[in-house]
Amino acid sequence: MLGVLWTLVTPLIMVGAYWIVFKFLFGSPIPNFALFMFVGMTGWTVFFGGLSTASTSITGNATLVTKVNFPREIVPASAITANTVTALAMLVIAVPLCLAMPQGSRVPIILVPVILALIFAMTLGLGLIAAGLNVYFRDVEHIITAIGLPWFFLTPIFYTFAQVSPTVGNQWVLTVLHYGNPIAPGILALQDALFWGRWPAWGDIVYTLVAAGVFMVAGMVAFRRLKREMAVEL
Amino acid sequence: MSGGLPPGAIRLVGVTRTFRIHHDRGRTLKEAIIRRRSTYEERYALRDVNLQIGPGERVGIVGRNGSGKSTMLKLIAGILPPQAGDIEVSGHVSSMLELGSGFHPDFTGRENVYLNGTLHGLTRRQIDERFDDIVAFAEIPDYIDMPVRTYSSGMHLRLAFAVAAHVTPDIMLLDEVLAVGDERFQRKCMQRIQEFADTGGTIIFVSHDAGSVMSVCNRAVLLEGGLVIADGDPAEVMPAYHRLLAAQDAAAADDAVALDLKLLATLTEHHALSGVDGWGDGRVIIRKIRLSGPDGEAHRFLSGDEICVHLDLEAPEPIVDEVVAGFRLHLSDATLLFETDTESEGVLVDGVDGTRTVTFTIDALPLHMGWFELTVWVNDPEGNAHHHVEPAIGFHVDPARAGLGMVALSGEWTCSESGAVKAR
Repeated sequence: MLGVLWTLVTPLIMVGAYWIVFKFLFGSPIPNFALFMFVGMTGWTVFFGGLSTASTSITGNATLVTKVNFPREIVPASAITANTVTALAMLVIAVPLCLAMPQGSRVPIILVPVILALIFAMTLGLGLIAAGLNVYFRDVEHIITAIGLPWFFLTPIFYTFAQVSPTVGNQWVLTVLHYGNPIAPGILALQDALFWGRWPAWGDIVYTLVAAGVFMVAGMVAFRRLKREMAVEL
Repeated sequence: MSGGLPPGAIRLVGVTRTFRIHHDRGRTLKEAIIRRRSTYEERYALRDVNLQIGPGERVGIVGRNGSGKSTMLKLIAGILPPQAGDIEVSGHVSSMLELGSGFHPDFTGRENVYLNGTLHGLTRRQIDERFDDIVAFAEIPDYIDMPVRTYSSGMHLRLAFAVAAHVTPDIMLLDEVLAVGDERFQRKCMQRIQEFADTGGTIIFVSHDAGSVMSVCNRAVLLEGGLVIADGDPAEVMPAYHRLLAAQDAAAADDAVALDLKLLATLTEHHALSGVDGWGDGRVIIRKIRLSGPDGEAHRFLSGDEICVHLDLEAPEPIVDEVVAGFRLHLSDATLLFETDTESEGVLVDGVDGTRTVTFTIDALPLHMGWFELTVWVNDPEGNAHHHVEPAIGFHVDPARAGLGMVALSGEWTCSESGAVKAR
């Protein structure tokens, strides 16, 4: 139990800091801003935490991969699964608080496992590619770390697209931010179902479903090719 | 993968495996995108290897460092794919390429047994069934629920071997694993491997140690430069391996001598030690060295046998001066056990005209068990070598009675009557 609490420390500190910046200093209009952020961060942690632990999983278990013959997919998959389990601990806080929220309906929460499963599948696909590539190009893990923060900022986690005044001319930028970022629709759907208490947009669900399928297939195909020479490169 | 092969069989057909040696690092995505091309050279680890191993064979793979031994094991284990050729492996394979490499230091012994067993292809049920046997074999019941990082290296190894030994495979791949652990545990491993062999399991064993290859294997394969250059009875292949090592030493001593494949081929043509290897002025050569026991010429004897070491000398030109023939009995790591020559024993060999044989007779072989080697020579009385072969021949000794070790001490146990404890 203490271990689970520990995993919550980092996101809680993050939420605290972002709350000060975006609620206290910038005056974000979102109600219960801290909880809103926390919900988005749960989805983000499942996705990006998994991707970054997966990227180092094979190189970190080099002795195993060069000495024992077993399906190499297990290594990144277990890293991602372990990360997902810890990330889901955040739900222990998020779900009861969201259930106590005044706004919206409680029913859409039934979609939360589905959305998280889709995010997990997407992570698995990308994670397989990252883990396999990092064996051949050791800077992949650093590149992933480097793009983490900008990616986080470009994902609607501490803001909503609805916040942007519709009178602003550059609506296409919003479209790009929404659909150009594979994880954005999934995060939005999670926020809808859990925080806002409303049914997610069909577009977001379908987009995430397709993205999960595409990344899974791409990841498995790429990894099958990458794993052949792994024992040589490690 | 089993193309009609019986379980436990392995077939390599035209297997070639190369490695790229990169000249620059070129291992980052950034550099790959910016520079696009990196220079490297291809090195052969195995070239066009054909090898057929039947169920129940115990094959020792020997060779110098970099000869392709480990690559072959990894190919059979399926860790590496070949670039060309086919590898068929039939049945379940248990690879012990580096014992305990799959252990996670923070997990307990129990957790690691399950983790490692799963990696070796066991189901949770199978591990449940074998768990007690594994722990008993590893002899660590008190520590099984402690993290593996608290284990001594011996405990770590014992547990790893115990897991691998309880996989019940058709084929066992062993890579130098017996070189570690204390003597008692090594015996236990050997026993387990022997049991596995007795039940008809196939063993592929990579080792530098002639003694363990001799005691485990009934077939030896010598690799050099990625080629199979000798394949057959260990008693014949192991001396070829030792000559290869000796040739390497000679080549290292004299840079002018290129140790190319041609030379190696000529070296290994003379499996039966026809006396053309070695060095010296060649005025007298040892045409052949023979070991004979009660059943005639052999490479394998029983402790206590009467054994003769025959040196067949041959002089290209008749020689009238005295010559001194001798030999040294040693282990494969050159640890000297006994050395003798004709002169120090007061035997005069007054020249050689044509051929002549000197024989040293050992009344009762005082060796108990193991692999032993002989270095032989014939010198002039001043000690200048006519011909020196090191090592010239190896032989295996099987124990004639209970006990362990290299040397057979003759003697017997006695025991006094029981008596009362005296008060101090």
